[in-house]
Parts: sequence; structure tokens; C-alpha cells
Amino acid sequence: MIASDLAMLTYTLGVLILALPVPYRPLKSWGPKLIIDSITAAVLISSITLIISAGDIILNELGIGWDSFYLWLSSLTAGLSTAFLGLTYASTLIRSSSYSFLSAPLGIAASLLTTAFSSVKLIYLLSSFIYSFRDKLGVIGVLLYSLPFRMGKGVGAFLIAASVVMYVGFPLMPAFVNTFQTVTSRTPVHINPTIKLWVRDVDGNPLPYPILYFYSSSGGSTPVGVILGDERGEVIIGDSLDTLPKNFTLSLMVGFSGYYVRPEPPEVSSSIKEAVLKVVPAIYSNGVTLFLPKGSVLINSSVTNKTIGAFLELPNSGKAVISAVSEATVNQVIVDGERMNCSWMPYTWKSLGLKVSSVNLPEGKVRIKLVFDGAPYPKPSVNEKRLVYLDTVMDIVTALLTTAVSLVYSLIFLPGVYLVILTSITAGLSRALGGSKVRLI
Amino acid sequence: MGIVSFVQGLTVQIMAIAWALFLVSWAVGWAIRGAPIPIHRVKKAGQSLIEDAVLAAFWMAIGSSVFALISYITAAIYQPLPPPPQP
Repeated sequence: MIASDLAMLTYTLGVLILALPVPYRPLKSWGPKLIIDSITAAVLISSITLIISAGDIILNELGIGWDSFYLWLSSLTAGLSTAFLGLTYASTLIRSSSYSFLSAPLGIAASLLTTAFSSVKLIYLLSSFIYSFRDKLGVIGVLLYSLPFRMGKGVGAFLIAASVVMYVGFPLMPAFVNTFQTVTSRTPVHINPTIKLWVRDVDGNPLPYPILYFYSSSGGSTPVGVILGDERGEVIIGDSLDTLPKNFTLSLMVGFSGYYVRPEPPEVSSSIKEAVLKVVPAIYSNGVTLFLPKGSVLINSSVTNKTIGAFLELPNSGKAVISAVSEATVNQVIVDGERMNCSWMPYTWKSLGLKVSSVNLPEGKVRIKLVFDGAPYPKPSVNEKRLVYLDTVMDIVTALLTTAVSLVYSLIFLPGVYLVILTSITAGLSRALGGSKVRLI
Repeated sequence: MGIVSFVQGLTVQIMAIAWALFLVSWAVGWAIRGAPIPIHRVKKAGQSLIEDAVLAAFWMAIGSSVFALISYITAAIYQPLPPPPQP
């Protein structure tokens, strides 16, 4: 090993200086110094394996290992990623809503989280450096230590000390951070209720692409949300699309085929998970909808691909409305076995081409039958307005900010303090090993 | 290894030089001490040269033994490196 040769060289140099025929004290005093240095270096060289394994011995005694440290780091990274996901989610929510002023605090949270990420990266880098290179650090330290004339004594001692202190110190970091960590909640993701609604006609057939208007229960003519259902009449609120508060009640209105109808039940609340919304006056089949007159009672009905039949009882005479997509053709409208002539009025609703006609129905029991060639009901174009509650969004933002700050505290501030402590311990140990003062700052 | 042999060669050379120097300084020391110069300080310098030279010779002679002793002692308390933990 080169270090022992170097120590030997130092020793010889010391002896040489001692043997110099120059009666000059300061020069002579280097001789014994060098001899002592070389002997110290020799002791260190011989016990380098002992020094390096000292770390493992201490870690064994403490009952912690690098595995748990890396586990802790990865759990922290996972926590960070969750926070980031929550942030992205919140910012998409906010951007789509009218509360875009809230994106400023989210920006702060994002920058804090980014800083925390880079701090974790730094911890990863430092720890993996120490973990994989500590043997080399120790050996290089000893090598530098044994250089003659105290050339690398300080650095060498520091490196030797670092190889032990850092190796023991890094796995202890989780314990240190956890002791001083105050905020433990790391799940800022708001758990939204998810409510499934199925919009059906009076017979239970799905109405394709219904438009659901949500009104606040306290009143108001402006809808708080406008959501388009799918082709099977299914509407999902909550989940990741809307931000709903814990408790709410919203009254509903369904827009379908040019008409706005209050469904049964007329409200949706946070207590339900799914509900069938019946659009009572409508019977739908294949692009054609029959809207029954107000106050009528449906006794029975029969629906096929090409016909709609209904047997009604009317308290007084009224009008039934037939609404069809413009591609569909209604061939016959039969009321009590009598064929009616209908005039069709075309019109456009939510960029859907529709045609509408009405039939006068007499008082009492009436049979009405439609015969038609249907067409698929196209998707209307609607500016959806998802349900976003300011309180809930504020809660999310606050939770995110708290998490970001606590993460910064536990990922930047605490490890920083800990590293400073480790470095000062290293400096102390290196002084004990004979290195000179290491100035950190 | 080039650097190891270089250091070893250097050590041997320095050792030889040191022995030569020991002889020289021992001789010079005695010469100064024994010289008919009635100045006490000169005589003292000669005396210290002799002492240093003798000390140096002693350490030189004992040097390899010192190193052997250290490695012997540490080998006695030597503990094999435990296998590194798997990350």
C-alpha cells in the first residue's frame, strides 16, 4: 500500500532532518514532528479497515441501516409527487373555473415543491456518494494524511472523519427530521364525492346527450353548473371533474331535444351516490321525442324502433309536442285511430337541427301513436360549466400550501441543519485525528 | 506500480543519505565539540549535533521495527470488513 510507503518516507525524512549537521533549531524541530506524524499515519493505515468498519458497527448498534434511509427518501419522494399531482389537479380545476386568481398561491406552492424536489435530489446525490465512495474516501484520507511534511494532513483527517461520520449520520437523518417534523399530513388530495346520474324518459329508456343544469338550492336563475351527459344518458359529477363540498343540494333541470324539463327527483344532494332522473313528460325513441301535455297521466305506453304509442288520460284538453331530429321522418301521427296532419317547424337548438310539431288532444282517455323512420340523436354543442365550489377550492389550496411549506421544512431546512451538524462533527473528529482547523465558512 | 516503487526507491535513497548525514553530523559534532575554541555556545552546538545524530541513528535503526510493531498490534485487533449492506 502506497500510504505505508509514504509514511515510511516521512519517517525517513524526519530522521534525515534530525541527522542534518545544521545546528538550526526550527529546522531540527521538524524531524521529531515528522517522525511522530509518520507513526500516527502508520497506526491509521493499519487500522483503516477498523475505521471503515466502525461505521457499520455503530449503525448495527443503533439498529438502523441504509435500506431504511433509502426507504424514507423514496417515501418522501412519493409524498412530494402526490403533492405535485394534487397541485396539478387543483390548478387545472382553478384554470377552468372563474377563480383563476387562486393560481398565484398555487404558483408559490409549486415553486416551493420544486425547491423541495431539488433538495431531495441533493440528499440523494450526497448520500449515494457517501454510500458508494466512503471506503475510497477513507483510503484517500489516509493517503493524504501520510504525505510527508504535513501536506495533506488536514484534508486527510477530514476525509477519514467524513467517511465515518457521514456514513453513520445519513441513515440517522430520518430520525432527526421526524423528531422535529410537526405537520404529518401528506395527503392534500381532496376526496370528492362521485355521483352518477342516469337521465331516462318516463318508460326508463335512456335519453342520449341530456344537458343537465344545476341550480343552487338557495335560488338564482343562473345555473352553477352545466354538464352534458353521454349517449347512454349518463352524467357523472364529482370524481376528478368537479370540486364539490361535503354537503350540498342542487336543483336540476334537464335540457333535451329543445325543451327544458324538471326531472323526478328534481334535486341532487351529497347524500346519494347514484340516481335515475326521470323526465316524466317525455317518451323517446330513435331521435323522436313525444312530450306529453301538462297534467296528463300516462296509463301505458309501447315503444319500438319505429313507433311510439301512449295511452293517456287528460283532465282537460291539451297539446302534445313532438320533437324530432331533422334527419328523422315522422310518417304518421294517429290520435284515437285518426290520422292527423301535422305541420313541422324546423329550428336549431344547441346546434342540433330539430323539427317540432304539436297535436291537440281532447279531454279524457286518449290513445296517440307515432310511426316514424328514426335517426340517431346527435351530440349538442354545449359550453360545459363544471361545478366548482370556492370553499372547497380554497380548502385544497390551503392544504396544498401547508403541505408545501411542511415539505420544505422537512426536506430543505431540517436536512440542511442536519448536514451542518454532521459537518461540524466531522470537523471535530478530524481535529481529534490531528487535522488542522477546517474553516467551513 | 510506478509510484510505489518510486517512493520505495526514494525512501531507500533518503535512508542512505540519512546514514551518511548521520556520520557527517556525528563527526562534525565531535569536531566542533573537541575544537580548541573557548566559546561555550559553539561547544554546545557541537554537543546538540552529536545528540541529534545519535537520536537519529537510533530512530533510523529502530524505524522498520516501529512500523512492524504498529502493524502487528493493529493486526491483533484487526476485524475483517463486514459485507456491505445491499441498497
